[in-house]
Amino acid sequence: MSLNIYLSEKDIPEGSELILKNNAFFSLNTCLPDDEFTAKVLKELDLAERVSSFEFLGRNSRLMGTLHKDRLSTGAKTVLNIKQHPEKIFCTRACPEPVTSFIPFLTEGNIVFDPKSPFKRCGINECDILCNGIRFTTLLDFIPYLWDKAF
Amino acid sequence: MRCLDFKKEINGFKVDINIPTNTVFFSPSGTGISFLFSLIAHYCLENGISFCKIDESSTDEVKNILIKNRKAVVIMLDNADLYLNTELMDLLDMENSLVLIRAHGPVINFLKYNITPSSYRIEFDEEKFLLTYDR
Repeated sequence: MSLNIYLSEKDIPEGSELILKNNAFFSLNTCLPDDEFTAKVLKELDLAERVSSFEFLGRNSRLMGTLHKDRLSTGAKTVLNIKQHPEKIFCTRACPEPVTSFIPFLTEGNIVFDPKSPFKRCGINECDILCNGIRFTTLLDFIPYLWDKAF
Repeated sequence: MRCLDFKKEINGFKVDINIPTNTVFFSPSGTGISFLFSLIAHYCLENGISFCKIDESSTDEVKNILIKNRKAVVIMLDNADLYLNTELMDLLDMENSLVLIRAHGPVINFLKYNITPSSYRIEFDEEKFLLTYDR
């Protein structure tokens, strides 16, 4: 399995469902499982900590208490959507940085990523990406490919 | 053009916001811009200021919402990459509203609409949310 990255909405396979509204999709279909990946997403993207499948403690938990999962950032919700629904294709236009920072930890799933968008690296080079039929196993190979497609 | 400048304590949470001009925020997800928009909405509600807050969940109706809220004092467009275009920008009253846009890329030519990228400092922790205009 690989993370499929489509560089344009025009590239997605016919009949596939593209999720544009990541927040709305998350609200109805995605939760916060008790696993390392979810803990990492919450901690690194939102300075948050999981409490239950539907709740978390945010950075101002002393004043605001436990928050519903829908209060997570769009970026955290999109990364969790991609992880938990590998059969769907998610648009990343509204949150390119959080998604790209988690690419090394996403070894399956589907996203549409505009090559002109900012690409944030997390420090890990290894990845498992399939893009335009080419498999990339390092970001050092994939990022120059993106630049080439962007301009 | 309107501006927003207020200090307020909400349930022990210190909020200090100064936005003197129409602005596009290019801040990454998770930095608190959606939360900022919620704080501004809270402030507007408390002070009887008309406002309009749109995000991608309103995608199919953005045009109608903007037409109905043309005279809103504060207009906030969150995750605008997903729906903003020149037709919608032309509906905004840039002179009489404070227009705040959150985007991740130059989805339209913001300079044409006299909106410059923001230069703000955000301090957001467990006790406070401070947004300071830097220039």
